[in-house]
Amino acid sequence: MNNITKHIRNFSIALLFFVILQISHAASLELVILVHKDNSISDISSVDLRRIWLGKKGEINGLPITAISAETQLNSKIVFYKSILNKSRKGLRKYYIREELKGTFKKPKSFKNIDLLLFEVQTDTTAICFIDKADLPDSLNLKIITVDGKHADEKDYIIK
Amino acid sequence: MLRGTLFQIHSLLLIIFFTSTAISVSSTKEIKFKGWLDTEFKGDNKEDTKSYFDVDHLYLMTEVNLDEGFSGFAEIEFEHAPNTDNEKGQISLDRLYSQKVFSDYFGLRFGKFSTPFGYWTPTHWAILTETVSKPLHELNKYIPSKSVGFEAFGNIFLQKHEFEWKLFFSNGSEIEGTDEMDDKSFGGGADLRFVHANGNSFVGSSIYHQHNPQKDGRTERSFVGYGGITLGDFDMRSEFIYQDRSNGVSGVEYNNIATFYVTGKYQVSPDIAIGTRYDDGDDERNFESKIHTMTSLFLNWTPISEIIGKVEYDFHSSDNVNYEDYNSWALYLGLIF
Repeated sequence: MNNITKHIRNFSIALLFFVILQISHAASLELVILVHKDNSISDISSVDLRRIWLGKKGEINGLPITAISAETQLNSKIVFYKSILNKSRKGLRKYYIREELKGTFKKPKSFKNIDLLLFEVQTDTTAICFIDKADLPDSLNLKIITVDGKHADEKDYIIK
Repeated sequence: MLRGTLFQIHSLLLIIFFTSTAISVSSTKEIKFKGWLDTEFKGDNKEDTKSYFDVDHLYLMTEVNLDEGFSGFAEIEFEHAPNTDNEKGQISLDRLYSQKVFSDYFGLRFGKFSTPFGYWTPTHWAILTETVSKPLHELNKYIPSKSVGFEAFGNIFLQKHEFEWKLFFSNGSEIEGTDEMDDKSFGGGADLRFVHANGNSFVGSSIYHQHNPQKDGRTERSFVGYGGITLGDFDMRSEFIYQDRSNGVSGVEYNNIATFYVTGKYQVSPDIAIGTRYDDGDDERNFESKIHTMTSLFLNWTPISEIIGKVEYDFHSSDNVNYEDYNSWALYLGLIF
């Protein structure tokens, strides 16, 4: 009986540690918005980012824009959805399901991992995505754009 | 007999559509298959009625997205476990349209689509609504939930705010059997919705005009004003519907009708929400056009995004002295796939 209690206690501590680790990691993210290097956009408003990810807007300055993401961006999604969409991951999933049942609706295309996501942004001139700066290799030929005129390292950058 | 024939036609349509989309996979950008189903246990305390289980809906949908903003959508509905041998239940082609989106501001849709009238009518499906019971205008089908014709739509972005607009022209009341026109007049309407920059509040208005051959050929002009607001975990929404009716071709005079509802929902936890809805208005279906007042208490349970459970208890009363007040209840489980 004592052993079982001990295992439960250890498991609880490990779980708590894991949760704290995840939260602290999410808090330390520095998300940037990426587009294809030939895309003429250099800045985007947070309102337009919201509209694009909610499927309400499919163009910027008359040119098509396509939101994409990677399945493995779990922590980045928490930060982006909260700061830009004001929704939880579950809340956004519910929103997408509702909109898809209502009729034709294009939700952001999802890729298996960040490598495939980065490859897509390099090849598709309409693609736009968010990514943790730490996941961004130096050699890639991509364009980081500002949000509401702010860079990611500025104090009042909105995605954090 | 007629229903059996209809079933065969619908089955054929279903097969043709799914087969054709499957064949054309290589030439299309994206094909999606999706659907939902739900079951209910419901009852009331009226005399001579008892509670029962209902296999309520099965919806199957296909969406095809092509290049250059072209797309298509088809939806088949199976209601109340249809069996064509004894002509029970219902199978119908609920929606079928093709559309072209030219820009964020303008798109065109042709076929059978949801009537853009207020909030509840285009939402319509039980899987998307917070209650099993419907507001009075939906219960009475004062407005056809679908229209056959064409629809123009788009979004207008005004700084941080949005206007969503829809304009449609349709076959009037005819949403099925469209190869044989009984209704000699067309119908149509428009919807304009303002969405605040924060996305947490909206207000809108719709109009709808139709000639109704099933109702003595009268002309119906309908109006709805609606709005909603989200404050943290609390949601509130309301709609007011008014329908102006002309005399029928037989010379019979029809009363205009008005209904409204207001609903409030509180998200207790990520999985559970509780709320209430108050309805008041003319009810032709249950109380011979007299005022029906309904108060609903409900609980929604969504353990995962694809599952919704509902528990509901409704109090009904009327100013028609020939009817006694009664209560009804429902347990509901829906699944999206």
